[in-house]
Amino acid sequence: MSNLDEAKLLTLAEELRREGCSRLELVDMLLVGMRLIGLRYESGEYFIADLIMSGIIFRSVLGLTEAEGISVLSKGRSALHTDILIGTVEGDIHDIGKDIFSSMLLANEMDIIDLGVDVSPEKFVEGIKKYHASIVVMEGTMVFAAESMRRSIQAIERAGLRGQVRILLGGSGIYQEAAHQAGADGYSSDFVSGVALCKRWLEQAGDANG
Amino acid sequence: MVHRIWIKNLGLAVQAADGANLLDILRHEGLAPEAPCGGRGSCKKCAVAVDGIEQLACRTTVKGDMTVVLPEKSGRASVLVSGCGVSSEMDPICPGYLLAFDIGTTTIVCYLLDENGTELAAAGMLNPQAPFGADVISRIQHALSGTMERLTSCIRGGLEELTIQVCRKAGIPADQIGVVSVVGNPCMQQLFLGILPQNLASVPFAPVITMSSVCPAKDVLPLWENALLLTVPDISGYVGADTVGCVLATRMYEDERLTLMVDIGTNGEMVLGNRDRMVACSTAAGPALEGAGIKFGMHGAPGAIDHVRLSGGALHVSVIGDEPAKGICGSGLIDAIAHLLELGLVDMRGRLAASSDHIDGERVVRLTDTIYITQNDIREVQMAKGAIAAGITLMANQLGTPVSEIDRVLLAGAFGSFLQPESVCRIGLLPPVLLGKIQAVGNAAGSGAKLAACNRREFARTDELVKKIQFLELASLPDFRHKFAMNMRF
Repeated sequence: MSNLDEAKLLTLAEELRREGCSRLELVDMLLVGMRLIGLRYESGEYFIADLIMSGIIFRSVLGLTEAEGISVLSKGRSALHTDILIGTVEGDIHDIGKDIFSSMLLANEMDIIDLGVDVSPEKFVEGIKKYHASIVVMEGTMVFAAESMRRSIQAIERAGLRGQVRILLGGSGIYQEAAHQAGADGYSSDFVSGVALCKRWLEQAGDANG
Repeated sequence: MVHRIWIKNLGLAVQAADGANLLDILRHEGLAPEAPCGGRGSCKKCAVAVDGIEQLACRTTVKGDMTVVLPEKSGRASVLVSGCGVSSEMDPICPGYLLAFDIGTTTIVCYLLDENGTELAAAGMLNPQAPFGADVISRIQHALSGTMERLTSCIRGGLEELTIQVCRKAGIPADQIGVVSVVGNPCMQQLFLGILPQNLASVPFAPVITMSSVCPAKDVLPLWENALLLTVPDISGYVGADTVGCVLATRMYEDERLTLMVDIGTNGEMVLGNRDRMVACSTAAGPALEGAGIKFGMHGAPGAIDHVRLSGGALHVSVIGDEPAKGICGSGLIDAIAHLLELGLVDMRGRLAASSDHIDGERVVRLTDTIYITQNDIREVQMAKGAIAAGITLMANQLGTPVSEIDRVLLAGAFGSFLQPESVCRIGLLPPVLLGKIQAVGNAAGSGAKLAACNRREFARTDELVKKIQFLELASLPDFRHKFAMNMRF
């Protein structure tokens, strides 16, 4: 996996499956590779291109597709509870940054529900209710993203859910001051620090729950 | 409370309210340094000296009287004015002299023609909106946050200045201009016409100027008191009238050869097709290739390293204007990376070799005593070239033809004229299989604007072209990310 050889991986995965390897075991093996890729990215050896490829390969080995705009990237602990809800905000359709971040969160053993792109404030609210997420990640590449993020955060507040979730904003459409003004809990300009922040938040939430 | 800002090197004092942002104040006075990131504090290029200490204008809050020293203006960029030399019979919509403009995000070019279509004068300038950011996204952001009128008056002021310049050069009065024809990218056109670019800020990025139009030019600029203003339509929210101008001027729409037209400006717009069918797309590729986000990046101005040669295993630079190197422009950067790949100092993933020099913990390659290329610079170029190359592949897919079947590549724009085809193909900005088919065509967008001014049928043809050219939204294609990732490699 960590060498990003798609053809070899697909053959290997097929063999393993024939030998009775379960999907969960396969995911575990892939995650080892994904973590290595993450480390090589942090060290500067790998680049965004390699992260994108790792996400594509991961999905293709597992035969994952984005069904109805929602894909569950999880080890399947529970269908009705997830760590993180992620989506590209309304008005924006850029999914590359979101997908890279999803892959990296997953490689760090966090469960994710991906709401897809052009996600309306209402969909974020519904998603929180449905999946009981503790973190919401909003991505945006376009100029309008900051405004859209602000509206989504307001909708979450109006629905009375703001206290249940931490909100992280990312993507080139947003920057520190704008994230603060939009009412987010955090902002991240790069994947590595964003993953670290999510990890810390989940640990804190875990401690609080006992 | 009001403070006094003494701008020492201009001998000028301006007033500012307590708590005001220094970059905003300088923008208001028309004195701001360029701020490619639009004032977010990320590009570090708007540095000024405040009371003797260098700091970023965009990160400086006015809290008392201060003395500011602005950086020396970095020479005027060499703005490409030569067009691609097509001609048309004369049948202008209105008698008189003709003015044609190409409004780019970075530069504006102006041509003055007589009634026979002969060019009397040409002039170019950097887009005076530069203090509001290097790319269209920052400009849109500023326009939507309430500075729309300033951006509009800024750009109209630029066109006014250029009109005065060309009229003076040719010795004609401005009231004898009969036609003003304008092309530009959709954002620049909308800002010029005073149409809020709300449509460019979210999906589906629909264009507003979808049909050609004619109006009294004096409504936009009183100086053009007796002229008609021709507005060329846009193809999509990010493929504009400038691209239509390129297609018009290169005549690719009536040619049977499969032509790839690439206009690399601040954005990269491309059209692929022939007389039967054409597709177009746009990529946000340009800023890196124009120096934004590059450690020593700058426009192609005096002092810029524009070419790098490899001889005897070492890199040798050539500098515009034969002066000490101050930075590097896109063509120099592309040359340098091509050679580093040859030398094995950059791998296929874009990583600089571990044996490279290190500065501030980052791997770098020195070009001169003071100028170097960083690992991050290479990453920026990878993203730009990955997007352009992916766009070419996807357009070819759309037409159902392999990239190798492309008969010719026309490089439009200033940048295209500086590039070495070998380097461009070596780094994979253009597919290597097309080396030998590449030709620079100068400012084709400007030539298109001239044609529209010269002949009413050429102007009318822009509506046909906009209907005929199919727009491809790359970000929405399922295969884009795969192609983008693959093409980021060398």
